[in-house]
Amino acid sequence: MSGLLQDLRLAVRAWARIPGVALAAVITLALGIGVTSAVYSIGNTLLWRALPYPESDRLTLIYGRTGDGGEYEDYAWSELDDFRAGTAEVLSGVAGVMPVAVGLADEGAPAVRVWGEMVTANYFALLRAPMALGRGFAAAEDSAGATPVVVLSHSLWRTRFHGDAAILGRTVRLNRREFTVVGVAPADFVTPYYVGFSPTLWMPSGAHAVLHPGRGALDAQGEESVRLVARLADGATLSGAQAVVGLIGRRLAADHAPDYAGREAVLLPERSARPEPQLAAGFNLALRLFLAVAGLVLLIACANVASLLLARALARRRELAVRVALGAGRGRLVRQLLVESLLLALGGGTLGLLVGSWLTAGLSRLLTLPTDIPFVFAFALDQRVIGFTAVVTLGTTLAFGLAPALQATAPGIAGALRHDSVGWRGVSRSRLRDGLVVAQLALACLLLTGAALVTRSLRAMQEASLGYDPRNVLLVSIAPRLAGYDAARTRTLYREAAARLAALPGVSSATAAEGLPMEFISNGGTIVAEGGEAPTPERPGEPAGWTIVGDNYFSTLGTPLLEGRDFGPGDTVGSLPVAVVSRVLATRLWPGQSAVGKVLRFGDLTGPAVTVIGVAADAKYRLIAEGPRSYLYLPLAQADAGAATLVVRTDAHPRGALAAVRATLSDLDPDLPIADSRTMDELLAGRALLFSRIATTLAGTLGILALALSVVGLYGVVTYAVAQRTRELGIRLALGSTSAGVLRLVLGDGLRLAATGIGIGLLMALAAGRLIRGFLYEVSPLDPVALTGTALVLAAVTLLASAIPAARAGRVHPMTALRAE
Amino acid sequence: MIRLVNVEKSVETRPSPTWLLRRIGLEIPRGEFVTVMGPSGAGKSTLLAILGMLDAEFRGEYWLDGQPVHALKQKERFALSRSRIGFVFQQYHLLDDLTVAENLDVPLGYRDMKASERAALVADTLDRFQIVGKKDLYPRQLSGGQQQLVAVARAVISRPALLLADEPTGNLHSEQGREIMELFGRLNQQGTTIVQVTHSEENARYGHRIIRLKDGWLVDGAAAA
Repeated sequence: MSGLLQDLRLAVRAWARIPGVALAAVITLALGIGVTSAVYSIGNTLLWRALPYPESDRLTLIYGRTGDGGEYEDYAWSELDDFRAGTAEVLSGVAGVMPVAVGLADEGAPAVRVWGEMVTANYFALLRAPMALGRGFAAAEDSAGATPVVVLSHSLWRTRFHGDAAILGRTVRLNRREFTVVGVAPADFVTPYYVGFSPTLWMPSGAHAVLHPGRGALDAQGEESVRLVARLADGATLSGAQAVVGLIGRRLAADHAPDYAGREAVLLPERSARPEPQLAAGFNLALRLFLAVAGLVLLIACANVASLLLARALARRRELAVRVALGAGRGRLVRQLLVESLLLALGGGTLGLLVGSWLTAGLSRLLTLPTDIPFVFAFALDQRVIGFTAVVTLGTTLAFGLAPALQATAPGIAGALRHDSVGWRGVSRSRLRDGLVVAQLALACLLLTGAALVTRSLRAMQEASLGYDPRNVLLVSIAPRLAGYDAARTRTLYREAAARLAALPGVSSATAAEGLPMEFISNGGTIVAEGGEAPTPERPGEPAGWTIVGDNYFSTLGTPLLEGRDFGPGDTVGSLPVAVVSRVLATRLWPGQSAVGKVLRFGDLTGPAVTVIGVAADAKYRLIAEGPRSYLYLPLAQADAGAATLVVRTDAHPRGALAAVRATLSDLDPDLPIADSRTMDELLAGRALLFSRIATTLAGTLGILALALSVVGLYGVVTYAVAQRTRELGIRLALGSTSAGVLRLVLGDGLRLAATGIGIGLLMALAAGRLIRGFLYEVSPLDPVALTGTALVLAAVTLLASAIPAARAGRVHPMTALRAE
Repeated sequence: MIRLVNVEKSVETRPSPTWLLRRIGLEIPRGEFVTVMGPSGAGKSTLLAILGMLDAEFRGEYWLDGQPVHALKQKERFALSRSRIGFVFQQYHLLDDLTVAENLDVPLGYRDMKASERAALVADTLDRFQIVGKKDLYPRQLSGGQQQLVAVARAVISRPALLLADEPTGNLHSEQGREIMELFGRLNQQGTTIVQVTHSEENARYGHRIIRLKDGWLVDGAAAA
């Protein structure tokens, strides 16, 4: 034990003697470990981590899907019982869940909008979520007449009710109705859909009628869509359950023809549907790519440390040979070097976890969505990644740290003692170290090329034509339903509010809209042209999205009206139902004709009809990369829109108008809750560009890190080579070489390594291009600007890294150099 | 104590191997002080490395105190070396990061002695070599003679029966060299067998016998005096 302590003491002293090398190794390892663990924790939090419930791998989600390439769609509340009744043998339960916004109020204070979940009573039991306090819901509470009850989230309970242990039985006011608190959800509650969505409270489906008087019970009305969460029964398999669910889906499709034409019910394991089933594959691929990239950075870091340790190994041969001569056996040397390596790994690992925590915290902040919907992305380091990085770090430090022990105890060590430094010439240019530097530069080149491509892709997205002008637009969401407004008063309110806001100084126009582009609010279905062919299961009609907008929507958003007119005061509940359609919808339904005056119907030829009064330019609604989409705009004045967003176009920066907008709305109704305010630019940056921004930040950070690490590696190798060749350089100078000649010699060595690394890296980038093709917008993986730019940046930086030690070599005095021997 | 029978050593070169030692036959009884001499490249240091078991790649037989070194496994060889041999080098080879006292402690640390015993032995040796005042200094703070004195002290601290010295005064001026050689003489009188490699005829006179090597061949002094 005392020997081990002595080794530890000596190891600390050994590293303290070369603090620069030790620090470089520790920081290098820390950076590699930090980024790998941070990226892994993102993937783990978003996609791979099991939900915190017993047997969570048996949780599934039921979606409807039309065709293999179709979108995953929710079923309606009225169909919940179909899935419950027919699946008892394969599913132990099916729960319905729907995100809802409600007004939460204390006595005498205006309501604030909070997001919760309306769920069937079996929800918590099905998840097997252990309540922190009280209970979940009882079956009777799904009935419309039941006493309204609520389960609070742990954070709401802690913050608003100060963790009051006597909270059960107390009442809270939701949408101006009293709800009795029956439970507090666990602190780590995670909803089984919408990764990151953190509901503030839960209400049983029976409370729907209480929250929204006049809109009826959920199960009876059947209009509202619902997420279906199911748990596989004991002994049931996914494929067996899928077969049963599929049968129910086909029966529903037949019952709801033609609306559900071709629609299949699919059962997805909860984990494979994250973050949204249609995004799951892309997200998985992207995160795995980033993890691979982070792994490459870790690899570069390890190569750097290996390089440092190899250099140190060479420098220590004499010391270790002396130790052997003094009686040290292989075991003792290995132990001593093991302790030294462990110390390095421990330092690197500890700092790496700190870097990882810091990076994950930063990434959590980066993923702040511009919405009042409580999305929480608490990325946390995971034990698995800590274990993985520990193994890699230990492996590297041990493998390269122990090499000297093995060398020292190899036969023929006497040479190290006999000839001193003269015996080292043969190993002064370690091919292994050169190889490590080439590999580092090649990987850095690959990663930098990727970073350059995604950066150019983001730039292209930012400059893409959207079909509207997002600059100088303020968005203010209000929730009149929470203040007791009915449909008619709501319509009047929006028209009045828009008119008053448009009259404000500095405001050029104002309107209202239920769903704005890039808000991810998805209203859609199929439409048909009146007089056209009736839809069939094979040709179910034109899929289209729609939104509900106020007067002056197109002029306020800056979407050109190509034909016809905008909505106006004449469009009211009693007048002819009208719509404005997108250019591509007009072209698809009435090719070669004017769409204005034509009639289209929702669903099939018997569905509700609207007359087209205008054609608007195509716009980007969900993704910047999407192609032109069939879309239609319905007037707010003829619809039943609950929550909508007021859209205000300003002359100057829109944030400057917020106070005046708030005051105007307060004048209109002091009790009107303002749910949220943001600019259209913020909406775009936070939604449409969010993942591109994160991808660019990540790729850029990783690329620059890789560049920095590999340049440090190259610098180290060239510096070391210069130090080892001091005598040779001295002889060359003594024999008549000029300083410039020596500089060229050393520089040449560095640049040869750099050129090899960059060349291999570019070839790797070309080969890897197809992997990221799907993530790029209007940029080819073979983009010459990105490839050439990366090569030039790398060439410049490596030139600098070689030039510094080369210049030092050029200044060597021959006599000093020769005395060095 | 030492018996070499037809010991040969070569290194692979092209087109034919280069011989460093050829058919060396040698006996050194316990308590003898032997000097190995010869021109550069004669094989002196190679012979010393083989005697010190730093080089195990040779042909022939090497017997030390009746044990066949040539047939021992690495671990056994290390153990034998630890128990019998001390080394002194021309370049001193003190460990730069350790103080004088710690340098003396290194060979004891490899012999699994108790810390208290080691401390006592180090104190005793510092006293014996009159370097107590230098015990906390690092090698770079000592003169060449002082460093070699510490190196000799380190070589003999574990009381080896055989002390091998490779040009022990090569880096010292004459007065310092003489002191070291007198120290060797005293150690020899106390029973330590010594084999030194040197170019100095003056140093050779401290020994009992001179072995001369040339081109790897033993040309003189094979038999014990």
